[in-house]
Amino acid sequence: MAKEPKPEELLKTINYTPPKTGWMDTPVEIKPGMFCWGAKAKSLNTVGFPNARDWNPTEEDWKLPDNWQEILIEGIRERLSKYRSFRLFMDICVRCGACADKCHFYIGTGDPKNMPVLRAELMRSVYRKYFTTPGKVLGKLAGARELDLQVLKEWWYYFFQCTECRRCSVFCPYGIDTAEVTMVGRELLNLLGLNIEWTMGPVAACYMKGNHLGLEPHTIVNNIEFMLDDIETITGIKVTPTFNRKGAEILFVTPSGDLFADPGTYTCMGYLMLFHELGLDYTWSTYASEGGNFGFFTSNEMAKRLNSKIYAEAKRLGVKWILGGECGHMWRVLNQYMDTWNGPADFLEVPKSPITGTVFDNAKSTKMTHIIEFTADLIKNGKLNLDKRRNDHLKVTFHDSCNTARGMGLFEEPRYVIKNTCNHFYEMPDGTTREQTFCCGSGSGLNAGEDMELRLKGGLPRANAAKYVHEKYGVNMLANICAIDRAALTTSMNYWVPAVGVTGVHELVANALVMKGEKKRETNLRGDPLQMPEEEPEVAAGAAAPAEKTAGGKANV
Amino acid sequence: MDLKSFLSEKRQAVLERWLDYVLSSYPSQTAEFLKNRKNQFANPVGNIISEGIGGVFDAVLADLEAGGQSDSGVADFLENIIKVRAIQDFSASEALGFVFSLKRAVRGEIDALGEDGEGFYKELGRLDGSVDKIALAAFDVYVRCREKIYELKADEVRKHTFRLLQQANLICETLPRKGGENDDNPEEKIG
Repeated sequence: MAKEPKPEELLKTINYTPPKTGWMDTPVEIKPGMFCWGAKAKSLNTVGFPNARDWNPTEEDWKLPDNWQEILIEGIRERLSKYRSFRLFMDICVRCGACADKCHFYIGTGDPKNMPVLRAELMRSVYRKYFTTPGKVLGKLAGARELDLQVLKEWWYYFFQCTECRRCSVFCPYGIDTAEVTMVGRELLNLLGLNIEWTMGPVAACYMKGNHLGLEPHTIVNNIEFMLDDIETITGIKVTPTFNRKGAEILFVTPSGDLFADPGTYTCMGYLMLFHELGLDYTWSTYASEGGNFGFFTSNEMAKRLNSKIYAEAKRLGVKWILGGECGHMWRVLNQYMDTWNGPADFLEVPKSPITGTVFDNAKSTKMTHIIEFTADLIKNGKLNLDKRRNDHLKVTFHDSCNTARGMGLFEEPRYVIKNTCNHFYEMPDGTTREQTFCCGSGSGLNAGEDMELRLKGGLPRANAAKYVHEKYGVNMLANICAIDRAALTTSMNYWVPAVGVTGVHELVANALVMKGEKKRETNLRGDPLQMPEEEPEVAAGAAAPAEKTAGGKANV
Repeated sequence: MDLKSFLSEKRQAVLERWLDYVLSSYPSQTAEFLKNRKNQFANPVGNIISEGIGGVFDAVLADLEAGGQSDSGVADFLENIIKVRAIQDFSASEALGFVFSLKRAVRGEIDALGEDGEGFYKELGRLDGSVDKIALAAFDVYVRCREKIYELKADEVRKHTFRLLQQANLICETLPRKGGENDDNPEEKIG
C-alpha cells in the first residue's frame, strides 16, 4: 500500500486560487468603450434588411425574433454551401496558435477572445455542434457548443472587435483568412438586425445618396469649390474641375471622407491640383461619389449593391476608364470583388495614362487604377516638377494600409512617390510594415466615438512603431493612402505620439508640385508658412529616390 | 548594507517579482505572452510595462538615496505604462494598483533573506514614502490620459462638423490653421 500523506503535506497541496474558467465558460461582458451602438431600424429599413428595430446592446433584451436560432443555423448552412472557403476555414484549423499573438486587438487588449484563432473558434464551436457528427455526439468534448443567447452576444461583441485587416492570415500555415470568418459572422448577425449604426448609417446614406456621408450633389460641388478657393489663395491658380461630364476620358472616384474632414480634404486638394496641372480630361461624379463601401462590413450582397453604381456611372458618362483615390477597403472591394460582382466592364478600356502612355495591365480586368500607381508612373517618366524642399520640415514615415498592402501588394509605389516629394523618409521597423503592417485599429466601420478605448488599444502596435521612429529619427509625419487611416490615425497619434501628424500622400505631392503659372507659395495646403531657403528651387523632375534609412540603420537604395 | 544598496543589488529579482504582480492583472495566457515575447514591436504592452517599471524602480532608488528629496523624472515611465492601462479594461484603482505592488515585491525579496533581512525592515518606511509619492504622480497621469480620451472624442465630432459650419458661413476663421504637429485645433468663432 502506498504511503499515505500526512495532514500537513496534504495542506500544502491545497490551492486557494480559484480555477480559471475555460473560454467557453467565461461569459461575455459588454464593456463600455469596446462596442459601437446598435444599428437603427431606420437605417436597416432603408436597404430592406430583416428584423429592423431599435435596440441597445447594453440592455438584457435585444428584442430578437423568436426563431433567431433557426435563422442563424439556416444562415450558416446556406453559407457553407455557397462559400467553399468558409467550409474549409471551419474545418481545417489545427489551432497551432501561429495567429494568436498577431492581432492588434489581442496585443492591445490582452483579451484571449481577440486571438484570431479564438475569435474564429466562437463560430467553429457552433458549426461543430450543428454540422459535424463528433460535435453532435460528443458536444463539448469535441469543442462543440449550443447556440444560446450568451454565444450570440459573444459573437456580436467580438466580430465587431475585428477590423478584417487580415494580418493574422499572413501567418496562418493553412492560409485561413480569419477576416472572412468575421465577414460571415457579421452577415449572420445581420440576419437578426444586429449590425452597428456606425456602419449601417453610412450604408443607408450611400444607398440613397451615393456616398457614406449622405452628401447631395450640390453639397459635393460646394465642398470642392471651397477647396478650389483655398487652392487659389495658396497658388494663385484657378482650378476648374467638371462634374458628371459625359464624354470625359476618365471618371475619378474617391472616398467621400476626402471631401469632408481634415486632413483628408488636403489630400483631395492634392488630387485637384495634380489633375489640373496635367490638364487631365476627367470628371467627378456626384452619383458615384463614394469609393468606400461600408456595405462590405454588413454582407456580400449589400457590398455588391453599393458597388454597382461605379460601373453604371462609368457607362452612363461614357468614360474610357476609372481612376480611384487614396483609400483602403475601397481597393480591396474594387480589386478583388467588383469585377465578379458587377463586371465584366467590357464597355471600358484598359487604363492608359494619357500623359505617359503607360498601360496599366494590372487593371486589365477591373479597368480601374489606383492613383498612387498613376502618380508614381508620372514621376518615373519625369512628368512632374517637384520641389521637395517644400516638404523639408517633414520627417515622413509610411503606414501601409492593410487593404492596399495585403489586398493588392501596393508597397513600392507610395514609397517611391514619397521619396520623390520629400527629402526625409524613414521606414518603421520590420515586422510592422508592408504585408505585416499593423492596422490603424479603426477599420471595417469601427471608427466611431463610443468605442474609442477599443480603437486606441487596437491602434497601439502601429503607434508604438511610429513612436520608435519619432524618437530615433524625429519623424513628425505619418503618411498613408487610406481615408479611414487619415481620420483614425490622427486620433491614435494624438493619444500615443502627439508630435506625429497624419497626411495623405497626395497632400505631399501637391505641396511639392511646382505648377505652371503659380505664384510664389507662402504656405502649404494646411495654411502653415513654408520654411524655404531663398535660393532657386531645386526642381527634381522624376529624380531618383534618395537613400532610404531603415530602422535598423542600414541604407537601402 | 543599507536598503538602497541591497535593492540595487537585487534589482533584477525585485523587478521580476513586481512584473509578475503587474501581469497577474491580465488573463493567464496573456500574462505569459506579455512576459515572454521580447520583441518590442510584436509585444508593445509587455515591453512598455517591463521598461516602465524598471524606470520607476530606479527613480525610487534615487529618491531613497536623496532622503526622499529626489525630483528625478519618473513622469515618462509612468506615462508610458499608464497610457496603456488607462484604456484597458481596468478601473482607476486597478489601473494604478501596480505602483503599490512594488512594496510587496520588495518585502518579498527581504522576506526571502529570513533573519538576515531584519535590518532592512526599519528602512521600509522611507521606501513606502517614495512609492506613495510616485502613486500620487500616477493619479495625475491617469486623469490626464482619461481627459485626453474625452478630448479626442470631442475633436472627432468637431472635425466632422467643422467644414459644414464653415460652408454655412457660421464660422469666421480668424487665426491661421495649424497642421503637421497634430495640433489641428482650429480656433474658430461661431457667429
